[in-house]
Amino acid sequence: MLRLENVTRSVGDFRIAGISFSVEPGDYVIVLGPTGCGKTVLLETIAGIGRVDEGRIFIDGADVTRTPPEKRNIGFVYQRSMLFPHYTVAENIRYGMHVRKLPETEQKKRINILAEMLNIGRLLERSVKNLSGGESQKVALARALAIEPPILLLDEPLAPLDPPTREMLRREILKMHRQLGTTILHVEHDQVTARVLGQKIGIMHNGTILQFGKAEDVLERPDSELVARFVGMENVYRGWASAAHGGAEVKVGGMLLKSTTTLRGDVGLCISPEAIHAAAGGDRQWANVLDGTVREVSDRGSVFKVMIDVQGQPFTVHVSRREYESRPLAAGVVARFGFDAAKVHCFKEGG
Amino acid sequence: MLATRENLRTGLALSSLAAAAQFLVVWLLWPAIGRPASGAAISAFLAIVAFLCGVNGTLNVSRLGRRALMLYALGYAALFIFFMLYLEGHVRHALIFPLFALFFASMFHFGPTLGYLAIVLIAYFLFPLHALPVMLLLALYYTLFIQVVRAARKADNYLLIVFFALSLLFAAIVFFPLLHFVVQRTPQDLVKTFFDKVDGAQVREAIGRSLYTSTISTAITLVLGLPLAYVLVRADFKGRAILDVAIDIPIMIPPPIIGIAILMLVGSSTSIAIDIRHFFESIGGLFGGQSTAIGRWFHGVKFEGAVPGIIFAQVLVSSPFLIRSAMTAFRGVDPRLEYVSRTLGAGPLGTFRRITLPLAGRGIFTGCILAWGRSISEFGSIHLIAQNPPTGPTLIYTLFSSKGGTPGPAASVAIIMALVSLSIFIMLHVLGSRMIWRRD
Repeated sequence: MLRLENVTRSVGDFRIAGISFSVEPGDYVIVLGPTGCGKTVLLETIAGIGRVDEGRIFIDGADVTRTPPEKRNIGFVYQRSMLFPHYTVAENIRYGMHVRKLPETEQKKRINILAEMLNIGRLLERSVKNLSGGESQKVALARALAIEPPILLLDEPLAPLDPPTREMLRREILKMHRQLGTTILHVEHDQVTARVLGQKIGIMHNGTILQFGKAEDVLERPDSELVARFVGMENVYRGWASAAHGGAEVKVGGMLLKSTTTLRGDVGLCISPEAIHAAAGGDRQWANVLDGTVREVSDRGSVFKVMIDVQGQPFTVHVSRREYESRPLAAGVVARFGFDAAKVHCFKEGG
Repeated sequence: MLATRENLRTGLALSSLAAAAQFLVVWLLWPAIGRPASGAAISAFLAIVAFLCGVNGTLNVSRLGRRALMLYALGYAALFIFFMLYLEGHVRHALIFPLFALFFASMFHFGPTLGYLAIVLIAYFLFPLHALPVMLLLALYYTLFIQVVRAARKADNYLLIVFFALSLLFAAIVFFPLLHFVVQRTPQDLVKTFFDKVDGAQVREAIGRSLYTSTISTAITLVLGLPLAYVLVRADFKGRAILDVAIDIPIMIPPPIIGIAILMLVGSSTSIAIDIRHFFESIGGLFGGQSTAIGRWFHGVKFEGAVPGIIFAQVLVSSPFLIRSAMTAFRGVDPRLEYVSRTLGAGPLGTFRRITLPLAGRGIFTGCILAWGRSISEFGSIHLIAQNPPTGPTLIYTLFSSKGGTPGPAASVAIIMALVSLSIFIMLHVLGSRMIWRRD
């Protein structure tokens, strides 16, 4: 569907370098990265806004590296919807079809289908100037979809929205993706959105893709310290792995943690804060059990984030609200925590 | 809380009534009962004072209550009778009365009308020879000043008031000469100058020539300057900064120099002018040469002492204004709007036509108005290139110098010219602000 080969381009101070990945038909791909890592430049480059310095871009097997944007037939939605302010909602959606000189009836048909799907029927005759953030994004989506692009590029479409609207639009986008089967490449800085929407995830940093693969692979098994930190693995350490009966042991500071890794020697390792449980009095046998002093507790809504200290090594643990309420942890308390060997994920150090 | 709308309406009606009554008393009744006549002018002046005092009171009726208002009215009447009757209605006394009326009104500490009253007095006492323009200028300034004070209070920034107060000097330097000048001739004079059987045609032709040459030169500047403005805004290239500065050069060069430069390029005897003439004549030849109207039109093309020269000069001097405005307008269009349009299938030209141009339209239109205004006001270079056929400014200069350097008849033509271009200027601005830019 879409394939990038070693795409390199600099725009002012931004630079994306050596980007290669491919997107299969029907995929929902998320490129996750912090602000300023070149995500927007990447999307613009794919859309044909500005030429690459090096590398090639293929769409459906055809080399489009030198094709101007108007010939690429790619749907593009900017972070701040970028609706044409001198047109109404309907005229905005019609724009691409009008330029393509589609018959009037076909234009009307598509507008109606999209308006119904995205629930913006009552807005059609309005000026785009008084739309809310969520409405604007939906109109921008409809405008991009009206040309029936085989691939849709989304540039943080949820970022400017407030949380409830964000949740709503996330669901609308997911519904739209299921209904139309459009291939979507979506760049994002928000992990939650990446987890909810992404089937495949690429982690972008400083203009390069660090890791690209199936969502669960990237999220659960990051292959470097940077990726581990981006995907929310707060417990990232360095250690030394060696064989032990039935698996491996990793030495981290003064601790020995059991792991299922096959790596040996110097490794990086990470443990998801969700994988660590407050274990005292539990009926389950954990491979790894730690006694730690609670340093700090903060309320994060559905979970409590508990910072503990185990032999001078800080750990972050997410304790569910229910668990916390049945057994509150206060700063200074010594408590016991446990987690599986499989949750101690190791990766090659220095990768 | 000041006056309600209804209070205001009754108040205005009562004040006008009182003022009219006082006018009649001073103007008609006074001589009838043996007092010296004051004349219509002074009566009218006193009537304005009465009106303002009346408005001053009625505006504040809701705050003061009816009784205080009654007291105020009685006080005014007493003051009036004392000065006008007791001091025998002498003219000098009649003019002292408003001064006391002002002090009296200020005792009631009323709002903005007091200021207008003061302005009337200042205008008549300090500038007796220019009372009308001074009063107009001060009243306009004061009206704005009240608004600025209100806005400054809202923004809690006294500096705004201080700065605006300083701008009175600016207003006096920039607008007073024009305001003073425009009221120097009666409307009858102007009508006579414009429609005069003998000289009127010359005036009408010159002003008409000014209007149409400026329009053509603006159109030419638009066609030539707009693309350049777009390139300067959207393209990032070496040498852009130099070009950016170069655009403003015509503003800095004195117009006579521009006139000489144009003459040296395309004056009647230069080789370029001859080439151009040959070029146009050969085009005319395609249309049948001297034997057809179109052919003859092409045959006579020249710059010196002709309309094309006038337009050449106007384009040269007015282009910076249009290009600058257009650049600002283009800069206001987010390039991402253009990118989106491209991804939706519109090419660069289609995007420019459908998205960029409509969105920058208002700014470009403002640029056209400025360029048009600059073209119509150009004199220095045109004076060198073509004193004949005359435009408005060159005709005014010719009339001026033929009378040995006194305004004389030139002033009437000048006032007409000023009023015509000013009203078109304002009309275009209003049109521009109302225009809704939509395409397709």
